[in-house]
Amino acid sequence: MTTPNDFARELVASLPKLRRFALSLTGRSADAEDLVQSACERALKAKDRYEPGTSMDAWMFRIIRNLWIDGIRKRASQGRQQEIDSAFDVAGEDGRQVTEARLTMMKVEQAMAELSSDQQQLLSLICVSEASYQEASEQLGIPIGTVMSRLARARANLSKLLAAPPSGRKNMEMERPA
Amino acid sequence: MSTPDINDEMLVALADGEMGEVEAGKLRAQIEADPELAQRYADFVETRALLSASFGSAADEQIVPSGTDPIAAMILASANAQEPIRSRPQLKLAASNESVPASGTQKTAPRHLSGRTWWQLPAAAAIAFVCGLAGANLLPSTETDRVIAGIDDPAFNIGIAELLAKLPSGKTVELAAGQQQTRLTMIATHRVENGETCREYRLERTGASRHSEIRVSCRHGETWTTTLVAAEPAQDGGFATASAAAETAEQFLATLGSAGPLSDDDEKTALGLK
Repeated sequence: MTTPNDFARELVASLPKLRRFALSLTGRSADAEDLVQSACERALKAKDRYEPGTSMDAWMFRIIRNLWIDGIRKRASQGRQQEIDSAFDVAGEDGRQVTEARLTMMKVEQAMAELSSDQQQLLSLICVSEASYQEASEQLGIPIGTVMSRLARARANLSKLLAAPPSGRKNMEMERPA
Repeated sequence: MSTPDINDEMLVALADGEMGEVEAGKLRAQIEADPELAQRYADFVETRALLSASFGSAADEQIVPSGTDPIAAMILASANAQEPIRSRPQLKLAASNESVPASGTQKTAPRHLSGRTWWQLPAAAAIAFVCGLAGANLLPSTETDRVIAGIDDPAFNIGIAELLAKLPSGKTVELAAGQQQTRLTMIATHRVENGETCREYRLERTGASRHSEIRVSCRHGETWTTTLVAAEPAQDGGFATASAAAETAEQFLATLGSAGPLSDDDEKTALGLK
């Protein structure tokens, strides 16, 4: 059972990651701060829906991401005449939008394990060890262009795996990072 | 809208901070104008953040927010108080010049909002609110929603109900209602605390009697009921770009217990489309 104080402490502990995530999305620290503040307000209102033992970070990333995209949609719909879509083209998704799914039902580690070893190695260098593209290029002995294309493919694959229907993965709850 | 000239390598380089300042600025401007591109970009940012969180990147762990951190203070205060997160000015329900015709029931809170602080919304200037529209069900067709932008046409409301049931967020459609042309833009879908699905959308009536408003309608069974209408005052040269009405709708939804807009995939699930 998570008390309000447990929830609050966990949320506060996530703040640096949330700020960094929001800054990567918006590119501006003032906007990132507003986004994080707004997301934290939402999370506090909806804290009963947070499942203890799942990843607070992943839950908050998703709230932040959705708020950010929602803001872009609002501005896009206000700022110009949009192309008029058919009212019922619900199925007209482009595949990328399917990258929205139950992240909290998946272990990132297990999705990572399904990638090729080349992709795992590169993701580990760039996203975990925070190497630059130049450093990764030198370390792996591949051109920077290859680093970029391999990274893009690896991240797209990871997104798809994380968004995949939970068939056969139903018990794969995302664990809280240690 | 699609942006075919922007490839994944560019997006991943931006997400990883590997792009030059000028190029990054241009790409960010494109992303901020294109929700689909924003979704693609967010995938790359999110995968990095998840990997970093899961495999324990060192950089974040050493920074512990202190009590002087304003967001940390807000979170801890709210946990202690168990009260609304921040005090908000009381909303005056008095209509402004931009008021939409009301049904006479606007002081009654919707039944599912009873006991909530649904009126604690920002008192944004020049916005007219019509809350608790008991007679504003969008289905069945006998229930004409007379408060929608002054449009009194049952067919129009059936059209809106169909769009609420199926139109993905981010999409815009034109609706004809008599002599009027009205444009509906679906903004977002929310799941609120009582389990209902609510949709936030903008209605714009074009032509001589121009009008724009943000609405929130929630589904009870098969019926959509409008629970908030916030008019957007027209300004010279068009509607306000930073809409106080949209902010009001967001705060209203947060008060209902929404954790924010649903993702596209969750939206389809909530609407029973998958």
